[in-house]
Amino acid sequence: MLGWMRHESEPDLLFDVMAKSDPVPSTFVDVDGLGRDYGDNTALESLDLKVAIGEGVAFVGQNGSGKTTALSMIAGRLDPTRGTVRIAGKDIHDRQVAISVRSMISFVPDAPALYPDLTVLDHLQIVGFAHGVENVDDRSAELLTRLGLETRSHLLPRELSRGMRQKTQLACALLRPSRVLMLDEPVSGLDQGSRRELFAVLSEAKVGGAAVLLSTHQIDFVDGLVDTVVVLDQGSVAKIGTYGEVMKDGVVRELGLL
Amino acid sequence: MTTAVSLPTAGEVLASVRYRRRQHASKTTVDRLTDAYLAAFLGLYAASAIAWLFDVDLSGTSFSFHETLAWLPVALFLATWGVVRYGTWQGPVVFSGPEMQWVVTAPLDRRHLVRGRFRRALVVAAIAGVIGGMGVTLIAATMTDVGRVDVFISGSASLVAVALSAVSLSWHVERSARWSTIVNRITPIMLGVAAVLAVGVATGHELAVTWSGPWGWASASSIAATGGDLSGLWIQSLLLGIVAAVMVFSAVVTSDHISDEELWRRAEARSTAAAAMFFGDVRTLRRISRRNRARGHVRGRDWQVMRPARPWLVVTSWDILTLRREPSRLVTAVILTAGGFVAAVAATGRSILAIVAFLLLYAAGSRLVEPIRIEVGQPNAHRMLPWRWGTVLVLHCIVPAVVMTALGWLGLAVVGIGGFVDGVAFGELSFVVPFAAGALVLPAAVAASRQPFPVGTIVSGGDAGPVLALLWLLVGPALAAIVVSISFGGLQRGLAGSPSGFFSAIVVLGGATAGFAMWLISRKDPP
Repeated sequence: MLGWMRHESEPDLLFDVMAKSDPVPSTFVDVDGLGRDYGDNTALESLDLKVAIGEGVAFVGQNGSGKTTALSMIAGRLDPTRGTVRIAGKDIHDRQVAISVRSMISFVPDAPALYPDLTVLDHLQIVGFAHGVENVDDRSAELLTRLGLETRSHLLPRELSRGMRQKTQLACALLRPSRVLMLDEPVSGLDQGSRRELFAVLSEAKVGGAAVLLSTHQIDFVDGLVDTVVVLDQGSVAKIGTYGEVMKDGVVRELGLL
Repeated sequence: MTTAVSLPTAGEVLASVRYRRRQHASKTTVDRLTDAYLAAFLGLYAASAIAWLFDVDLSGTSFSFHETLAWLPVALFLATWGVVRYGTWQGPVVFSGPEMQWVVTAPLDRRHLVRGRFRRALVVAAIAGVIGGMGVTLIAATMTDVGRVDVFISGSASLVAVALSAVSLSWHVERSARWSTIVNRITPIMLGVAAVLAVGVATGHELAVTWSGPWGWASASSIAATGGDLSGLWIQSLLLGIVAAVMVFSAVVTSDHISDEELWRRAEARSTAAAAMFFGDVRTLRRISRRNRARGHVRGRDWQVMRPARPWLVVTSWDILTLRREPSRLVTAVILTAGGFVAAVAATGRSILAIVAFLLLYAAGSRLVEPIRIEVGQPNAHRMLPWRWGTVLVLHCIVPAVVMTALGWLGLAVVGIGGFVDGVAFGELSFVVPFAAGALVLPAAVAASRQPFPVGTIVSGGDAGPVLALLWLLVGPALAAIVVSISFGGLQRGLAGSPSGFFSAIVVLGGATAGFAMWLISRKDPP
């Protein structure tokens, strides 16, 4: 079982916010009128979104369309200019509850952020320790095997390819006990085999009880993976719907996403 | 069946990270000791070089340590403001990207993490304060035979207090976007305050300056040690202690009042800035600090590209446009030129000030040839133009040379109005200015036209690596210094009343400018 899966039967592992007595709300991620400006430039106009546990959402769009901005604000890495983000009913940007809410989110950034002097296994050990994961060694070994990193666990980041570094981050994100898995451009730098493996892992994460949110400009990757596709164009929501609905609409072709 | 999860403390996680990092540390204890030895050796070398400069300069002059120390409040004020301004884009609490990704975002006590980093900054500030304070008061006591222990302790403690206050204030700026904006906006006013303090010192109102604020209170004991007024020393020390205590306390109680965004922004800026510093890329470093001060929003006035009257003016019009879009380059050049003129006027009998004047004026020229560095950074961009690489480089020198000439004439006019040169010399010097501007700008252009600073040389060059790197940096100033020093005799003769002196200086400066321009034109297209 991967790290996040154990929450399906053990909701009290999610600390104070997801204590045993708390029911899992039907809308786990609630985004309301979320927007961000940089001076006169609007990076994201207004986004409304509701995501339940086990659901997947993909933000697609061209470069500069606002995908990373949206994802970063939902993860609490970026402060919104307007609107709110609630995770399990708690405002992610409220400093008083930030620690407990943070523990529910795993964010995999586009650019790998790894300690240059720590091995792949060291990263997993530290993440496991910081998040109070039990049986870190076993879980780490399981994840490393699953992601094809078992023979590279002793290597430093500079000895890894970009795709391998990306997988190391993914392994760390999967190890920690989270309810929301967020990935910024997870497909970039991955070969076809790794893409298939990522698809399978993310599908399992959904089934195991995580909400999966990701951004990509490769819309074909999310076919069959997510329930909702949000097409962004220059900071505005151009279309929102299922993969089939979005593909029927001409906007995807107009934006050159195919 | 449920399993309780016991979370570690922030301190335990950080200790775990440190332990694991030490397992893969590439440096051994011997390596670290060697580094420390080299740093101490270079420090002593630099200190002896500075002492030599002072020896050279001060012999035969009426140097007074008391007069020099009177400038300490101004220096402390500027240093404090520098630390505060640093908080607008970095600050005392900065985590690395991996720390942000794996430790800060973990369910750990944010206050503990921040306080650890803040404590480290306070320790560094305290050490700097102790070293500075002990150094100043020791020298003061040695030179003036005022060996009072209380003054010595007070001098050291005062600088520690002002350093702690500055770091604490910097934290408040770091954690608040509003404070950052305020600091950015009032920086020109603060420079004005520094100028007022400087005028106060220059006009002999040093007592008033020492009461003007924490920077003055912190300087009082050092100034007193060299023969100043000791009467208010303990009141000033008490006030300083109160300010430092309040500042540090307020910083500690607000240690969790910072958003993830601010910490992420600083982590990313730190990573890029470290890389830029490693490669000696000052331009990128400046851009990062500017972008982060503006919180990702850097947008000047939207100037439009002018249609040049002649095709060959395309490069010139582009350089004017970039200067208008980024006026800070012009402002820096103006400040450096003004400083150069002040140093030149005060240089009579003080060779060190003449060197300072030359370096400031060269730095102004170097700042203005930024378009050449941009061109070198994008070597293929010039292929859009119908000229060879060398020609483009020379065309980029036109605007800097014209601006330097204008600044030179402006400076000369101020000096003339001040009565530092007579009417005849003023007229003849105004003919020299364009040639002098060329002789400063063209060597700077020659230096800028090379590839970026070869950091690899420091490592790959073996023992000679640092020397080779230093020589690389000195090429531009050295070329300009050779030309200026050759023309200097002519200038001196001209100022003494010989018109042929000015003429010979013009010939030397003009000839060198033409020579440098020819060398630039001969540069081959980059591969």
